[in-house]
Amino acid sequence: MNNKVSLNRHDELPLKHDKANLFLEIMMAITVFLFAVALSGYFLVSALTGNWNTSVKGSLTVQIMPATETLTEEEQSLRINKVITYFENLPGVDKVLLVSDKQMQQLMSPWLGETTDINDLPLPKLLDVYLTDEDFDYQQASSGLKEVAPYASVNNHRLWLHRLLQLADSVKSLAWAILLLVLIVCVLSVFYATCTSLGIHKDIIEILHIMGATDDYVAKQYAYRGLKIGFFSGLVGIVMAFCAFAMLSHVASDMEQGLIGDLSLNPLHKVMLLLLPPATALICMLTSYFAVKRTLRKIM
Amino acid sequence: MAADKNIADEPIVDMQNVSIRYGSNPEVLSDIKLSLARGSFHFLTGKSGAGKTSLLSLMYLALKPYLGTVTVFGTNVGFASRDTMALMRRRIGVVFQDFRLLEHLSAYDNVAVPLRIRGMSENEIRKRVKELLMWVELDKSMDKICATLSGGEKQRVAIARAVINRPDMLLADEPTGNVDDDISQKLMKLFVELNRLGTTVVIATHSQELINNYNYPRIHLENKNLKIFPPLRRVITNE
Repeated sequence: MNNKVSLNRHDELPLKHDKANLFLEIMMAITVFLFAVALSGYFLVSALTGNWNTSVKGSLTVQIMPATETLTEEEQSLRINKVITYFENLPGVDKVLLVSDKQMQQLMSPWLGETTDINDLPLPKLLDVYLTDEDFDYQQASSGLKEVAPYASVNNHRLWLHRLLQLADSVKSLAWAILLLVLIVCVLSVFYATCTSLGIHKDIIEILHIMGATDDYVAKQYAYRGLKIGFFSGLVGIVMAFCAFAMLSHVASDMEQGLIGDLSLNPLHKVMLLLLPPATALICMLTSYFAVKRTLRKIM
Repeated sequence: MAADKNIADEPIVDMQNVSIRYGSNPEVLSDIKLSLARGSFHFLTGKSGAGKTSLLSLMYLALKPYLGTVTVFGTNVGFASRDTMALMRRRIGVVFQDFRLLEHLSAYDNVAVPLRIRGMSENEIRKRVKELLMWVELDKSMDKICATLSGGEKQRVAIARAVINRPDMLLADEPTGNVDDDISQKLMKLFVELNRLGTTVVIATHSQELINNYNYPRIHLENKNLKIFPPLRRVITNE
């Protein structure tokens, strides 16, 4: 008896050698890369808008005209205290803090450099007013301030932040649209690659049918191939995406953060991105399976 | 008991007023009536193009009739679901004239396919496939890829694949056409033995010698129709 016979199970359909596999692998890797980028963009914009919303709802800035030659230091301090007292007595105000000279120096350093002494410049004094009430009446506070201290004005962030938030919402909607499109491209690529492969292997499938194979038996072989291609390509795509994020993060770290803040993903978002390869594998597997079942019912 | 008798008496294949045509071409077979009893053995003859392969295709459920009804194992194939048809096909062994092996697989894997489709364990498959390949004298070639086998070897692989499931019905298209006399005799003995154990056998052949040597009736196709002739040897003996 010949003992050399290979006892390993060989799939009846030679799907490993399909020419469409490479196309599918490249398509899936690009798809996962784009999906990861769009999803990360969504996460980052969501985090940024969250911060902005908090800022808008939680604080306002008051600007007091700079001291003039006719105004002594003492008089300027009195004017500042008057404004502080005014805000501290308003309902919905948590605390009022004067922006110190050191903080002002830091704020102005991108434009004036580190060496310029801001005390030599006629800069306004700034107050940070922290609010406890989300429904704080900005209009009333502003008009009241005009009466009490006409030399001071409220900087309402709401208008420009509202526009920024609208832009951010548009970016988030765009990210959703990209995610949806990428998903559709992924499903269609797998579907048509599977249909092409079914055409290539029609003779073998016919023989398998004659021997009693169900559509399910054939579909499972395609589903297994879809699972492998999806997972492998998903890994490649996500590695590419993480490389791109690392580069972006490196570039962003050289820039002033300011409003944009930290351009890095939190651990939860990273875990969600790492779930993309298994999710892609699942999508490829299910698409292959149902594509085979549907196509075989039509053509055989 | 009565029910068992009814099932046993039921023909394994029953065709009523069956016509076959491919697309809009003229009919290949017309108004066929055929009933094959369980455990019967028939030769199928006719000139090339007479419709032998089409008739066999109807029997192994690869083709549906243009007109008429085909009943196999008591099920009208016109109303059977795809899954039911698949389960019915598992009870049918087919040997094709052009073998139709899976060329990228070894002889062993080709013979194992019907058993894997049935979900049999690899241990059981190994035992049964090795035994059968030894019987058809292919034990030394069982790990060879089919594309590298000779015509005769391929034919034996095809026959082994058709009988590995111990089918209820065996349909063979020129099964001894590419093998030498010794192997041919051995394969015919295998078919006869299977038939003795209850398998219904239909062998399409052009070989008058084969028909003369075995005492079985003949289905003859001519002019889109069929006639059934009694066993030749009986006719000769009677003379």
